[in-house]
Amino acid sequence: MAKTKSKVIKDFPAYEEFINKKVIIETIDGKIKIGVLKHIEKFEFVIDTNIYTKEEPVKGYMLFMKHAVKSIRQTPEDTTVKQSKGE
Amino acid sequence: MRRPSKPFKPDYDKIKYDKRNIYKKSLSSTNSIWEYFERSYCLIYLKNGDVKRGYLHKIFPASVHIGIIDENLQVLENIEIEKQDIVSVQHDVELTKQKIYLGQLRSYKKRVQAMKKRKKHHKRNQSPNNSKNNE
Repeated sequence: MAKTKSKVIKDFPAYEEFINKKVIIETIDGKIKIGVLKHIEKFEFVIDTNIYTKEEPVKGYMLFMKHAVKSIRQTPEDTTVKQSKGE
Repeated sequence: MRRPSKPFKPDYDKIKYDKRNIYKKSLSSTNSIWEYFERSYCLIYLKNGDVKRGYLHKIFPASVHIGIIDENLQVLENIEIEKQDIVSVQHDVELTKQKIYLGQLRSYKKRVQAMKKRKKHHKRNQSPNNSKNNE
């Protein structure tokens, strides 16, 4: 695992910070998906999300093509703390 | 362990598909991510807003071959989609569920047939005695 990771980081330094973190992905169609970024390849990457309905969630992987992605944003990790502060 | 002689009809509502590990395998073993989606039922979202649903046959460097499927999961026609036109790919949970269901149904029918055969033989063996009694 360590070897593959280092390769990925060398080739795509911009994605390094997002690995194993919860991200929001916006595509060309305007659709938004939230999940954990798992794996990066040259032209595509995989996130770990719910691939079924909200009532019946099924965890699985979803593949995105890099050329079809508008943006990747990382979600703030400790949202609960911020909310409590605001209150 | 002896198997129960009488086949039971499976209760499809109670089967927990989430526990089966089809939708999630470890990615560490695969060389490319596409391998993980190969030979499985997929939903492919295209740039023009279309959604292609079917069985992903094979993956080429620049394109993807999928077979479009009818209700009984049989391939009607094969289509080639270029990777340039694809936005995202995900496993089709419903079709995978249906495949499991059909497999279970087939095994159930086999069991029922086997039981019928067993009953026939049983009757044949018993029949001479019965016929004598009737006469």
